[in-house]
Amino acid sequence: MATKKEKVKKEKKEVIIENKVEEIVFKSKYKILNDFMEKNPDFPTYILIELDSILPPKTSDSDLKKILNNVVEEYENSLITPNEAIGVITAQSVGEPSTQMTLNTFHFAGVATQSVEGLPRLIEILDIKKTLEMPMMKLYLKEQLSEDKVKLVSSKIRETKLFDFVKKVDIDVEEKKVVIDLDLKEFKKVGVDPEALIGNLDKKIRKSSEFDGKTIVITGGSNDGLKDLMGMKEFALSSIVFGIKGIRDVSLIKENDEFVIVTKGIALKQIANISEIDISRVYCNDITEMYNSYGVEAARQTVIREIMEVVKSQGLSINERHVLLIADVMTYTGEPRGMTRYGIVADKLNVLTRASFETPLKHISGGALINEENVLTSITENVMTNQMVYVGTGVPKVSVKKSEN
Amino acid sequence: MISKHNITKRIDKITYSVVSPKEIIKNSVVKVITPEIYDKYGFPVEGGLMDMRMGVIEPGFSCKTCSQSYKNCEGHFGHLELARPILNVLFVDTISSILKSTCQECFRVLHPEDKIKETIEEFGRLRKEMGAEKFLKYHSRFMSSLYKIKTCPHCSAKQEDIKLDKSSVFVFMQGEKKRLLTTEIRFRFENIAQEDLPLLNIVGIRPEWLLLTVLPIPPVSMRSTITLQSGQRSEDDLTHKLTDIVRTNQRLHEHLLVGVPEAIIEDVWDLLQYHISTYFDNTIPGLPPARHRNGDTLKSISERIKGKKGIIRNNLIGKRVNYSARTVISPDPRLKLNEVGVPLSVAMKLTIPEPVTEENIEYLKDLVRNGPLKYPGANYLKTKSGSRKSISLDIIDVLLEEIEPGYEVERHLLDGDSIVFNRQPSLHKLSMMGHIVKVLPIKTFAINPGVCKPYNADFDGDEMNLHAAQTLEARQEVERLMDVKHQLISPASGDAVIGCVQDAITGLYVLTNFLEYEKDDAIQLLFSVGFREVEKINFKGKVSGKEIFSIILPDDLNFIGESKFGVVKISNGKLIEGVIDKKTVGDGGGTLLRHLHKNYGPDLVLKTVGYMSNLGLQVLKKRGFTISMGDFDIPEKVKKEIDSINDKVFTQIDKVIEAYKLGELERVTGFTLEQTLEFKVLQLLNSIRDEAMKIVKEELDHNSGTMLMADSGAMGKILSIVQMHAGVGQQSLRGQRINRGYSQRTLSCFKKGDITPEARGYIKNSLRKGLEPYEVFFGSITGRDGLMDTALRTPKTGYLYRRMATSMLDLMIFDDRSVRNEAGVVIQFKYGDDGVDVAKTVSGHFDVKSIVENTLGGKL
Repeated sequence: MATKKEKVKKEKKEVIIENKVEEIVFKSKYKILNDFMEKNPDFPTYILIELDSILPPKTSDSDLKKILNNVVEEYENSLITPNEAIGVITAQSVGEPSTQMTLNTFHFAGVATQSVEGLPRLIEILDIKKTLEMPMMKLYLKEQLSEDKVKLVSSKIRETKLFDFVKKVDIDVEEKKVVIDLDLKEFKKVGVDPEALIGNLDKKIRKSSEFDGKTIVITGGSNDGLKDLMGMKEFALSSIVFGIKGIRDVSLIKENDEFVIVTKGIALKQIANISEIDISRVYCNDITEMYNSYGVEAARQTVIREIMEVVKSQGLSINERHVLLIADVMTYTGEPRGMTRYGIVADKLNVLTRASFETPLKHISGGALINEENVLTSITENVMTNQMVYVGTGVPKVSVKKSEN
Repeated sequence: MISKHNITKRIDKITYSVVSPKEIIKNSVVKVITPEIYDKYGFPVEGGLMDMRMGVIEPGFSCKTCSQSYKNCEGHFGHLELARPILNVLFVDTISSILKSTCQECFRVLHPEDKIKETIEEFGRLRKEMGAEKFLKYHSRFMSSLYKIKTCPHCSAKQEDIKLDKSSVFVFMQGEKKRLLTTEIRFRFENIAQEDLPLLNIVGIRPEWLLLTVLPIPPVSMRSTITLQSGQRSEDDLTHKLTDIVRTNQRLHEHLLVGVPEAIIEDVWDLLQYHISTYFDNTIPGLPPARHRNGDTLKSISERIKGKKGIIRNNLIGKRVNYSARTVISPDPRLKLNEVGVPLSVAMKLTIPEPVTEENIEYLKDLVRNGPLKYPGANYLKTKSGSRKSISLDIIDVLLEEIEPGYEVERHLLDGDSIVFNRQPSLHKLSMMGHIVKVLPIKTFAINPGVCKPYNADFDGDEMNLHAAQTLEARQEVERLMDVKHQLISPASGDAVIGCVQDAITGLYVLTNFLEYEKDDAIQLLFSVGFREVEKINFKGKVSGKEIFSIILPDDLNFIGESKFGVVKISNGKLIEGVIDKKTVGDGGGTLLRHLHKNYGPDLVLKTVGYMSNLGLQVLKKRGFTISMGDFDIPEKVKKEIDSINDKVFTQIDKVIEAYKLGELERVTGFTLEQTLEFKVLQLLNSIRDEAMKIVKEELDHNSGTMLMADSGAMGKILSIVQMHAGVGQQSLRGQRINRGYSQRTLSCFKKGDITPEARGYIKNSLRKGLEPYEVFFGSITGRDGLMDTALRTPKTGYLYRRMATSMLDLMIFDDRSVRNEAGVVIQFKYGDDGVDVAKTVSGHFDVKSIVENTLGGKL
């Protein structure tokens, strides 16, 4: 169900991968269906696919023709009435059930990764917040690996601090030294060489430290007191030596007999460097990140998917068509915009529409400076001026011919 | 009737601009010269702020400009000539940025000559591409790049830094912070070249207009005087403010004439600036708000516009209406779903205009004859010329003589009128539906409990509004688009929203599950429901409940659905298998009702739901239905069983805790040790509930009232029954066991570090047995949390909804089923990718299967 939309090309955007989408061509075993499809390319294919799949094995051509006629008739009857104020209906369809959503609920997706659900998450999506409360990535692998190997891959992703490899730390105040004993077992678990790992230490520390395969000795300056050494120890232990910065946690889940790495924290660009990960299937719940890495269509899909997730987790029944419209409204300009006074509302054509939402004076005085001229096409302005609105039954006009006398 | 009074013109376009001084003077009728308002006789002073040329507000006077009375005169503007120019506070930011980006010597914009044309063209293009808001951001970036230019590219003069100090004072940053006087600013702005203006994002106006030399004085009608009961007059805040302005301006004038030292002049000038600033906006940060003598802040012009109580949101977006009524609602299952019981007193107050024609003149004359006090009567009569006469008993005879085609009678509400019924909060279009009036001798509005769901109404004191549509078009729309029967399917999900509720469901469940009647009783039952299609009744001997239910269904109905206990199968209008419960006929998603609507249309659903509800109620009436404490008696054996489960799980939990304390607990991947413990304990505790539920389900008498209600889905859940006699169970707060309160413990009756279930919010006792004191506290914690949740959620969703609505309200389906906005920009080429209306789908799906079945005659 991808909308044909002109992609707005952004020069600065760094698109990691261009996904080639193969167009699925549906071929039925019934000639009548195929002919029909050729003649009516606009007829929704999913209806025909469903029809094809549920037809009883030996349907005669005359029966099929009858069925097809009825399907077309039913479809035409099901079409939405023109001039319907669909925006309002969509807003109501999503807004009304949202009063039943819960606040403050957390939901365990995977094992360790919590995700925000319910109303706070819905607000997050519709606002396109830049910093999420629970950023998450789902990483699929290029090929099936055993659990242990997948664990190794995931340890490459998770940010690991020196602290995780440490057995014991001693501070020698007289010699001005910090002695860090490493636990070699832990290294084996992650599958890396200690030497390489120490190279990732922060520059400041690396300069003044020595490594003999088992312990790191950091020498402080000659004037350093206990406080400085303690600070140095903390700094060394908390420096990230392995993995990707910003990925605070990873966990494994099984999805359709396939291991999926779920991360806490987002780093789409760095993920591309890890060879085992299939970057054409990477998913994350941050719309802005998806837009920056994969473009508008991906952002649109993310909006749809995330809203549907909230709807489903709350046990509500909101039709996908409403969510599609919301996603399209948010992305049709070529970049995602939130439903805030800075986003969609700010781009409204009419001064009074914007003024009626928030900060009216800013909009009215701003309109005055550039001599804005508004034709009253929008709902708000016509309501304000007590006029018939151009929507629904306000659109069709009836004129009566005056009789001669 | 078209008369000259109701010919209106449509506003086509609104243009926004800054008014020039010339235009202010042109539109002015008075030059205000004195701060005095009234003379000693109490009449407005000529040339004062209440000059009668600006309009009148008292009856008995007529406007000296348009000679109309206060009712018809809209008022006229005056003007005040300011002694020195004043900054307009609303434009201070713009003034500041213009000052910083223009040369201080030659007054050109600090942009190279050869680039100006190019940049202006680019601006025009970008404004179209980016949209208003983004362009503003882009432009402000361009402006700040100009601020940094220190030598003018045109005359190579050096630029000094200018800063906005306080709210309306500009100073030079170099040296001893010399002040940039407003006269100087005005001089600079006057000399800015016209061709440079687009660079500053100023179109159609001159920058010097941002400084006021002439102040428009708003008409009197905009700031009317209130006369208190004591006869004292109290002026409007704006008038107060204007008096200050006029007085200060006069002083400044005199000072200038006399030739007072510049320092004193500047002080008075600043005072005038302050008064005019607070007249526009009294909430400017950094500026002390102007106050009344008693200390209240004055209400400025911008405060009249802003906010929820401002003109825009209170008067322009939200409107008040006449011809409406509001009272408490109460249920009446005898009404049809789309009827509303209207109290007689309301019906005699609300009116509907009916034009008099040759055909209906006698009928309307009868109504007029009854007058306003006898139902059905009429309250007003509108003559041909459009004047409205109140019908009172003493002039009825005169009016009856007078009445002729072309008149309009405003008659009482009658049975069968279509009106709009509404309950707030109006969250979706189903919160306002059309109903048909049924006048009843009651004091409240009565509705069928079946329509409670879409209104989200109950009868614990809810009030609802009724609007009597007045024009012919409106009444047609109410009848043909808004009526309950056209709103049976939710546009959000495609499910039925209206259906049977409460006892009706229980009754149908009992009927279709196990009841059996003698033939006579069965016929009696159907008759009491209002079923009159006698030819359909064909009973022999004992009649099962399923057969009785089948009678009210259409003859050729084929349906396969689900109930709580397996499949429901109806073929050829006969319920063959399964029971009827909430899933099939309940409100909010009854599948059988959705199926009926799809195949037989709304009228049949309305009729059938009426029969079903009444049938359910009558069955219960006949059979008898009650709940009692006895429903909760569980045999000693079951009690022991539940106790043993409790003991078993508790020992398991003890073991887990022991293992945790010894450090032997195996960590689950991704969890810390503590989380693992919590996870395991919670799992075990939940298992108690699940097993108790199983036992209760098996052991309790399913024919008791409580269980019948829970089973049918009418009211209550099995879980509530479990809580009532097996044990309330774990209280959870934010998805976890209760883990807050004192340090290391939840309540002071526990030891520190106690992590047993009892100390962390597990309620072992049942509600019937009674809770321990500490258990009550745990219950209260979750109870309070729930209350807070709802209290915090309501404003949040309200705001979210408002934002969604304003973002999307201009979207409309066009004739090709594309979705476009008010600018004509296509949002979707085909709505939802297939153009299908959700309200015309079955739960959101285009139902291919049933079409195939119907065409092949159910052979699939």
